[in-house]
Amino acid sequence: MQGPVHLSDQRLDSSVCTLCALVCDSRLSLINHCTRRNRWLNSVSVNHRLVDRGEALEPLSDLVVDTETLIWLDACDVQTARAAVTLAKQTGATIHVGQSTGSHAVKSVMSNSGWFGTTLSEVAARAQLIVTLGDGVLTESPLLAERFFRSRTQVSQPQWFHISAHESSVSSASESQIAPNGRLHWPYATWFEQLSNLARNIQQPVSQQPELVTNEYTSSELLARLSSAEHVVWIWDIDDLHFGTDELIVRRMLSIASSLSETGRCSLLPLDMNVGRVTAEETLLWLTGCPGTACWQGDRWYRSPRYSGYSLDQWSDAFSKILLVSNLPSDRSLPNLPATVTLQSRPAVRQGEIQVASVGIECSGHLFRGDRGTVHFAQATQPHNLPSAAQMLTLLSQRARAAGTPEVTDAS
Amino acid sequence: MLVELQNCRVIDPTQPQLKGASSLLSSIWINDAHIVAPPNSGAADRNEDLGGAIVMAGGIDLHTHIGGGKVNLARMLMADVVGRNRAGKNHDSRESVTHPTGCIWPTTLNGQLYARMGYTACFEPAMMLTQARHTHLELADTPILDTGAYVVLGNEDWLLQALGSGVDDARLRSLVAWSVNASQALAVKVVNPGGINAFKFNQRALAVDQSHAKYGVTPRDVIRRLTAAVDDLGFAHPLHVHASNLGVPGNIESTLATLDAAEGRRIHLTHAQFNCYSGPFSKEDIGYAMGSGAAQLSRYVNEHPNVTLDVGQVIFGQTVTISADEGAQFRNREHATPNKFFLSDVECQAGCGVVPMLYSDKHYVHSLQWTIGLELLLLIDDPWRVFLTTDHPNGGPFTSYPHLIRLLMDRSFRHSMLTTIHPQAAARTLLRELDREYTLEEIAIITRAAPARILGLHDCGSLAPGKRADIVAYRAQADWEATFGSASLLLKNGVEVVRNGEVVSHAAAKRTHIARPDFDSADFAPWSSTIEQWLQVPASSLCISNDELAEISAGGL
Repeated sequence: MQGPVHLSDQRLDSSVCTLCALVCDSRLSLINHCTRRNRWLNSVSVNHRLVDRGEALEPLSDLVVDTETLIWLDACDVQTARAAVTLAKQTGATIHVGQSTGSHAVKSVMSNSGWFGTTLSEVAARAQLIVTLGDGVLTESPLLAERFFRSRTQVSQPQWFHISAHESSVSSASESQIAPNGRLHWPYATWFEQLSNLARNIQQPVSQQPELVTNEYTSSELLARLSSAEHVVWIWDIDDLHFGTDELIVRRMLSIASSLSETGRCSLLPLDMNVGRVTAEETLLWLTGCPGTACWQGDRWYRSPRYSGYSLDQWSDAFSKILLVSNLPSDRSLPNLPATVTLQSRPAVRQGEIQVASVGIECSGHLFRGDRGTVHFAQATQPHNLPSAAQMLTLLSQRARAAGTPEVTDAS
Repeated sequence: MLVELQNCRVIDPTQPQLKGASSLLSSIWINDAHIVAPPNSGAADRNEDLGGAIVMAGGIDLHTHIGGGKVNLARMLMADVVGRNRAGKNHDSRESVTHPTGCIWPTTLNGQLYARMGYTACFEPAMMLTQARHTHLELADTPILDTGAYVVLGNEDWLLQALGSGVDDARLRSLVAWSVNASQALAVKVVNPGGINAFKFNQRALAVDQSHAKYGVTPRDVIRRLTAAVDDLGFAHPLHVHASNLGVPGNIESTLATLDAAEGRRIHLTHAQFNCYSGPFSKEDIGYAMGSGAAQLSRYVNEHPNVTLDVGQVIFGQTVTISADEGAQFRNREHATPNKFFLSDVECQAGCGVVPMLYSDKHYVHSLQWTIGLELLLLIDDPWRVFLTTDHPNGGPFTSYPHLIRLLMDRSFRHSMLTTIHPQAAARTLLRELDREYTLEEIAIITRAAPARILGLHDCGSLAPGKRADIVAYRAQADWEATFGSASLLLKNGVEVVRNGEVVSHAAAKRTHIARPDFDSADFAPWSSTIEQWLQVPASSLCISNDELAEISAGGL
């Protein structure tokens, strides 16, 4: 049996970086300029300790997954999500992909309205005006502007207009080498009102729009740019929206996109920085047909409406056991849930935590990018005997099967 | 193990000696995964008496959207709709999204529903390079069925730019071949050639001979160059073409121009019904903007042996339309039922449009579409060149194939249906004059033998010795819809997967059909940096290796 391994003196150079929505390929030279990645590399090389297989499996021995269990996917690759679905089907457990308020708001609008979307490469290739809303999109994805706002194919570079929520952070919001052509300060509390004004004014004929204030970036300057650009893209960090009512903010942006799309092109690009969440959502959807939450009941998958918009506390109260899964290298903290068992990529420090192989480091896995425009294969760069989350979940399925829970395979 | 299937009413158009012998009962012998000739002596290890059931090779659907990004978006958009059945009634008080009466399903149910109808292979026709992994992951999770996918080309910025500047044939072939190899595709599809890309530049229409505003290339150029490249590379399947102006009144003219653009080379027109409209007419002419172009298109196909088509039949009821043709879906959003849609530009290659649609037999255009599909199936003489599809789920779900087969085989049923559709569409259609009824042999051609042949699946679509033991038995029921709706037995690679209409096993091995065109890496080299400039990722990162594909397949549920 392999003993504990410390990687303090080894370079954790994964095939793709999973820390943010962009999923940068390690062969892109500018990845070395990513401040977020460099910070993570420094921290993980100090703290990264791999346990052996037997030690890792111990906390799993007492867990019995059943209908009272919630399988919470915080972040995972396709294969792990597949194994989680199999386990849920085998045991009647409920499977759920963790949602932030912002991601819930975007999906709610997207699935109930008309949506105008785009993907990252399209931004670089075609956008004439890029509007970034909120600071998260720049601080969470430090290479966004370098990779996708500097066109290598267009004759003229796109114009970039950044709307910051915090006055002090406007100038330091971006760590990139390129800077916005225009900046605007909208306190977070005013976003809905500001966007409503924009949406209303865009629907006016140009002659009735407010007079421009020159040499100063204001909402009217933004309005003028929006009205004159032939191809506009709005980009924001999906987790920059914090309140349930922020769905209205998304609706206002959609209203702007819809109006501009009558005669030109305007698209919305909400970036999800948790690519493991995107991956789990997509996989759950194709395997069960259920967005976000699914439960196998006898002969088919169901999505109970009662879980819609549940808070972490409500989830905690609704289930007696929670199996939390998060197997991507990450600098995010895990959701504050009273998990019975946590399968995680970081070293275990509390009871019930189990360290599993990290996707793209100790094991391979498929991951969606944060705009859902493409899927990457994150190859294992330092294969290790540490079990993967998928293996752990499969072990639980096998245990349930051995205990006599028959799996129904026909949905007739 | 040697198995004898006894008392089979064998329908196999690939074996000329069986022609006209469909009333005779005979045996089919199987050794493990393959059909074998009857042994000269000795008995089978197991006998299965099929009691005179109709026996055919496993069905093959050459155009069905069952996996990939657009399909998953449709699942998301329809999650609160498919809990109702296609007539709009709730079938269950709980919020189920996997009921067979829906129109789009999770992967597992796709495989099961196809298997129940006796299908053993299905092909996803719209796979983008950057989403190829997603497509293969979903196909791997589709049980029972052999699968494959067609890579979408013809709207990439790098390709249109090169065509506009006169790229030579060798370089173009290298790009096509690399794209197929990288994405592990079986064939090449073009969707609205150049038109999706033009829409990204806000050029909202692109006629066949109209120049792209940015790159100068015309749809005719794209079709001409790509049909040649596909032919020269030796693909079994011709260029699979979703033509320009889909859904537009009067598009029959651009459809025929698109077929002409192939200059006599092989070309496959897909979901032809949506590109088969006469007009545009003024209200004063006939009262409606469009009519049927089926007679024109059928005549063209009958006179041009280089042309094949699949129909894309419309079936009344709730469905969801999904297409890479974002511009067409932008127009269709006006008709969304329920009123929601998803449109997106995608990665400098194509677009994505998802629009729910409720086809009503009380609606003139929907009724017209219904008649056009049937007219095409009945007016094209050679059943080896016309394929039964609904372009699932665009015209309707694939589960309506048995109904469609009944419409083809039962003239009186077809004529009775005319009394239920919009009266103006019923009055104008040629269907009343068409007495043709498909024979069992012709059904076997359009649903298995011909798809196998045009896709180059040499060991499928036939019950001849040496072929895969993909075999379905249908017990005669009250009508053809009931007969073909439920297989009494389905063997996949010799393994029993369906009995009496119910899936009994997912254990049969699945295959991913791919093509492996050769190309000169020196010809491709310049493309690599161009693609990286457009996509901001190394071109090599798009390549799915054989090992990776095996890993994807092995991980499937």
